Amino acid sequence: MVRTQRQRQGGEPAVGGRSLLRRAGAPLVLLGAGGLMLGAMFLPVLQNSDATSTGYQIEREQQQLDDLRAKTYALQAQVAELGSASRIQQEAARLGMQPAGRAVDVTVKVPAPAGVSLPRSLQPTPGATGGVDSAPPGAAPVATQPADQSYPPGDAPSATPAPTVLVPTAVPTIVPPGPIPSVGPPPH
Amino acid sequence: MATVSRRAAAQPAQSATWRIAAVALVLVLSAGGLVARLVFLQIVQHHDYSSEAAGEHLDQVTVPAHRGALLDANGFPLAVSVATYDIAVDRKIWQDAAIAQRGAQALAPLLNRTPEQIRSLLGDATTGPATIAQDIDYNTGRQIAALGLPGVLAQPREKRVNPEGDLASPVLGFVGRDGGGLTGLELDENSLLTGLPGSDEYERDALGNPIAAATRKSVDPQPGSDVVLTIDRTIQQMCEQELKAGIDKTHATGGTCIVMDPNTGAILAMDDEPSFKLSTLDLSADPQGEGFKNGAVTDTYEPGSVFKLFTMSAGIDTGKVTPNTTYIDTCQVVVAQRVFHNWDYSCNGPTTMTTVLVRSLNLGTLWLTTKVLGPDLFYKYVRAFGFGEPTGSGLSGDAAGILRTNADTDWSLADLASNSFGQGISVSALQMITGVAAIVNGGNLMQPYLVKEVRSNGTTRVTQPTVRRRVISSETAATIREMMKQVLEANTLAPVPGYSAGGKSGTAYVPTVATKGSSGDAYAQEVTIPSYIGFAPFEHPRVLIYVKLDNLKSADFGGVLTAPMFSHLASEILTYLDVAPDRPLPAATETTAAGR
Repeated sequence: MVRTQRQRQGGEPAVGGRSLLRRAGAPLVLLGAGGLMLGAMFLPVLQNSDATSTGYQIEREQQQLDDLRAKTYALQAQVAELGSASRIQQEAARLGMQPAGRAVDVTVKVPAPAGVSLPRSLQPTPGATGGVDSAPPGAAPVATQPADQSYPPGDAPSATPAPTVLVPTAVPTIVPPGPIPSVGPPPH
Repeated sequence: MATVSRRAAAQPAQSATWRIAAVALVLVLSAGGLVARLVFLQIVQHHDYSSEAAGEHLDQVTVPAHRGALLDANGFPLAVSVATYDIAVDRKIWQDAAIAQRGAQALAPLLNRTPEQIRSLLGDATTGPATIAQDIDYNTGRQIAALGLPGVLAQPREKRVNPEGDLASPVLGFVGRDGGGLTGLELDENSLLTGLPGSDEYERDALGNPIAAATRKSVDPQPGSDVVLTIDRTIQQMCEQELKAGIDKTHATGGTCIVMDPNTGAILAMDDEPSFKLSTLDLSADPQGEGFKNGAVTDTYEPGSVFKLFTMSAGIDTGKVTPNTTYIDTCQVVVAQRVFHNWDYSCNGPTTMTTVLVRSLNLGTLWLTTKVLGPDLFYKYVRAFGFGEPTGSGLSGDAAGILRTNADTDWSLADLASNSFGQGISVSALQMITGVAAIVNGGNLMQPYLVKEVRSNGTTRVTQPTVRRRVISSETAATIREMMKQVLEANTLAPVPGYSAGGKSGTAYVPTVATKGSSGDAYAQEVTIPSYIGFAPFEHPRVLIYVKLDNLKSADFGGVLTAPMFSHLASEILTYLDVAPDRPLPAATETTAAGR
């Protein structure tokens, strides 16, 4: 007679095994339940702990934010004090500077100095973008005048085209304005 | 027998039922009372008790908002706030000698004081907080707070800092210990600068410290707006230096300097002396606070001959005179039994209106008001120019001045005569420059203003110039400007080098105070208020400048004393503003080929 596989493995012992499992399963279930209960008990503790540490972190960072704000305000005030007009004057005086005198505007009634062409090596090549690309080769670059710029009579620019490079010429003599003479009766 | 026995048995049963019922009733009533009490406590008075309970474990602190800055027209800070701490001690806790000793020793090195000095600051009181240090720097305050010393309170605060020092002190004003503005723009713009305070509500532990994981409600404070002024710090500095030099030179008791953009009414600079200085502020020295004002806005005085510009404007705008209209200038005129004469007692014969302004002849404007305009027309124009009412600048103490008209019972024709050349009428410096600005800008009375922009949360609100009303026609304004040009050019001390300009001087006598037995209608001849108002450049005015010196004991007049101040100031300001000169400078500045 051929014995079944179960029989070979032991049919009776299989029945005994289920019993053993049952016997061993109860503590496992109890253990699992206990674990769950413990987990349920500790979970709020863990959550509270985490929330507490997060709360402390938020408070620390809030304090850090306040510190940085305060520092920003202090630095802004410091920058303002360092840039104050009186402080700039003090520093300028320390550096040997003096207040500028009265501004002098000079009207020069002399022809504009003759232009000097740029050396060929420095002249822009035809077709190059920007600058005077429309100028013929060899021609001296000429400063352009905006079309909408107008001049009052007598103030029109000289017919001589303004060169881009000027050779320094004699500096016109500037006579500083003298004191205004006081004449006549005192005004009321 | 049986019936009797049943009755006898029923009596105790009924008695027991009654007792049970009574007990039940008592119980029901008691329970009802308890329920009623519970309803009263938990429903009717729920809010009160819950608030009380919350108060036991909840704490709420107000988080102050950062105060906005006052900036000049170019964004340079004039007043900013920095975080500081005040340190206070709870005297009751420090009654414990050991706690006090430990606390004082710990605080001493941080506050740069000895422990004995710190304990002496507590005074004689035994309860309540005692402030032992104010406005200490933020880092030191944080260190003290971190020490957690018993009875030591570190209170966060803000301190106002003025980076430009005393610049524009009376205009800016200052704040009090609570951080609120007390005077000047700090007061006038307080609602904008203050912002909205936040709050922090938290559960506290037994020591009063916040519980980190507990309920916490925080509302962030909204910082105050930054207020950008029309004041330019460089022009303000020029104005103050010029005024100080003028006062020092003439020994005046004070003075005023205002620079305005006549086209908009924007005030570019404003100074009034004497006034307080922010760097040496001492509130205890002036408990009434009379010295903490901006006199250019609040103080009134008789303006003198500068006022002739308004009289002439009225005459020309009504079409009753032209610059070439002539009157006969006699040596003196009697009006309402009072004798009037020119400032120099001159008799000029036939004189044009232009000459009236150029030579500042009192009898000319007197003739114009008494013989040509009459009181109704004259005062109509005076009111239209803004006299007798505040300027609308929004500044504290914006004075209306004193203007008596023919509607007043105590008015007489002598008042009309005096008013025509700026006596007998009381005005503020701000009123004067605002009125003249109407002439310079073509006839519109502008509302003067000091706030250019308000910046808040990334948005900017720009102040638009406001025209209050048209006072004179543009043609009249142009005529008066031309006359002012002739006035200025006739005074060798007033022209602005390189620029065409217009102006008018004034020298006002100061009225004496009325005393018993005197009418008070008299003037101290030896004390004057010289002033000068002028604009430049002539064609496209950029600045209008008004300078005045107070209570001067000098024989000189406004045209001599204050015209040079105007000239120098206008030259400096126009150069600073990069305004191109519109005429050659005096002396030779042109070069020719020969000059090379």
